[in-house]
Amino acid sequence: MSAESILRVEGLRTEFHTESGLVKAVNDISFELARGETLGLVGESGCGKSVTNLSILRLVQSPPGKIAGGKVLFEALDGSRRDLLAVSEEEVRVLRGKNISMIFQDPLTSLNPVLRVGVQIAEAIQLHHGLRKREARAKSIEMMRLIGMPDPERRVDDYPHQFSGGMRQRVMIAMALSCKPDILIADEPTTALDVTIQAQILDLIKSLSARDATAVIMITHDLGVVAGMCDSICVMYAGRIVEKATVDDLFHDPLHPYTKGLLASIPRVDAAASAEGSQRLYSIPGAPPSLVGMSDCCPFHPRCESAMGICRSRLPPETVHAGKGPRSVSCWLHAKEGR
Amino acid sequence: MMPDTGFLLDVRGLKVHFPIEKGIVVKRTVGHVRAVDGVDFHIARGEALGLVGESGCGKSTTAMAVARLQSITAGKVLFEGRDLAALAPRELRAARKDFQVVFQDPYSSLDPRQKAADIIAEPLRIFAKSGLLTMSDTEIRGKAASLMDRCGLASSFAGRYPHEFSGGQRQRIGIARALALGPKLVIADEPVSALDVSIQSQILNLLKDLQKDLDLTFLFIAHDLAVIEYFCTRIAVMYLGRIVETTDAASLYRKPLHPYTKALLSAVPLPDPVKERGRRRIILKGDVPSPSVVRKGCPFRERCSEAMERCALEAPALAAVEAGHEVSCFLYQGA
Repeated sequence: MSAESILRVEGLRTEFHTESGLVKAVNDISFELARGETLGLVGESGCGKSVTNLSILRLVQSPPGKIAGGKVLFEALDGSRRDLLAVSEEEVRVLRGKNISMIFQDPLTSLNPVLRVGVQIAEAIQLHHGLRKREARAKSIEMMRLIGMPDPERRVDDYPHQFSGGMRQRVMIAMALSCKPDILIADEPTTALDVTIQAQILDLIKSLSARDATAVIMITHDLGVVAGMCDSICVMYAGRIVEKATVDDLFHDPLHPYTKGLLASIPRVDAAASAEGSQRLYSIPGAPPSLVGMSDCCPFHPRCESAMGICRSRLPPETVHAGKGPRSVSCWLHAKEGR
Repeated sequence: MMPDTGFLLDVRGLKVHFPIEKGIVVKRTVGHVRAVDGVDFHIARGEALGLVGESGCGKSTTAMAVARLQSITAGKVLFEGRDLAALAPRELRAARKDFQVVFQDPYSSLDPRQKAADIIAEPLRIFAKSGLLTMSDTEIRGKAASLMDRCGLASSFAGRYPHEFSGGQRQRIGIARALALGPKLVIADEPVSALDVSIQSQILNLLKDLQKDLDLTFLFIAHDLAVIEYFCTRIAVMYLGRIVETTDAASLYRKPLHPYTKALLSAVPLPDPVKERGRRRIILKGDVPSPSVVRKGCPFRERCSEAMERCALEAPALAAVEAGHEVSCFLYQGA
């Protein structure tokens, strides 16, 4: 584990036992998060990006889910290192909210509809720091001011339904950041929001995480959001990470055919202003595979235009590549051994 | 009868208001949600007009009103010069052949108990049954098969039920159904927003090919400016039940005029880290105000950084700044 690293995931596997068979939702995933870094986890629906993050916090519902293997090493500021998958439930509970907190996609279903938002914002900090009611209320008001809520003294006593979607997401952010966590996991935080509100929320996450040097894991399907927010990116496909790179490397020199295809298939609002204007969009043929009974071949080979014989029979190894920052790709086209 | 303006679709002063009712036994109307509040636009043959805006701006309601799936409070919807709003139910049914809808949600817009081929053939069967179309059952089945093929669905899928298809394939079924009667106008309401990126481009390309091959005219609704810009020839930006700007797709990004359009464009994340870093975002204050409040003045003025005294007093009308570029903002209209 390198010096400035705060979280390291090693060989994480999460499986779901379903009626149609064993689903390997997260299949041998490793990545590292540095202190203060913003890491993007990108992929299409069902690629396992949300399950990865639920697994980090041990929030996968069991049954049917099960964390089948791997390590999640968390290094606290005092230098102590713990495997979150090995420690007791009590210990994880202490970490959740205090050291690692999470914001979800849909703020309406993740807030308690019958509790005032002030009470909900203060809950974590009351629990972890033992604040009294009055202090907690003052802290809630302070947090609400911080997230740009107009008139926080009055709104602290409102219920979730009295807020708009964007404001609810701000409340979620206030909740998540109230204990000044080391890591913030944001699972599609702006997917349910309009684009102008999305800009507000991303701006807020960016400035608050910079202020407290909070590391952020940003889960999203939107490559545009990633480009503006993240330092580095993991691209996921069918339960695996297929490419890891810094944001500049990934966007300007993608290596994996899936990443290339994904980047070429998004319409861009600035396209008309550039030379390639009315060019036809590329589209990746086919659809993402079912994760039931996946064999050990490259998961992308049925849709890949550069697929070779070996892709159909063996899983490509993760190969380190030179780039502006650390980068690696799992593809036989770039593998150095075994071809 | 209105004079034929040469446009396939000409919408004038369209209003759709929903009453807000109170009381359990005796209902009384206490107000109106002004979902669409005076919208004018037109679509020429072969054109694709994109209607873009944030949730609650009235873009879908406008589409549903044009499709006559939503009753109209006021205004005219002239389709080939004929006002759809004034048609009798029988005439309307016959007219529906010419305008069909592709819906947003491919999960809920297909009957789960019908097979794919039957879903696609249903419009034909309905028209054949009511005597508006002379086609035998064999012909209908053949037509459905060729539509499936045209929309990229294998013929072996004909006997499958909707739940056996992926989201992208379901949307293909929805598109094939919309094309069954050979419409002139296709109203596509967020046809790709429920789909993943890699599937989204497949569907967009399919729609583009169909438009070219079948000479279709599109009214395309989306909240995603990049999608709209890719697909459409002309774009109308909506805000709070009104159109604030219309222009051709190529010049929207290059030269937005209305402060709302500018903010909207600057908020769209670009998949390019270098451009993102160099960008200055216009962060709009606050949320979209409620459409149930009767307001004087420009609907955008509370969130506008360039609001003037005049904006609070009267609402600006949509006016041409140059050929093909209309905007409703006093900044561009001399006092």
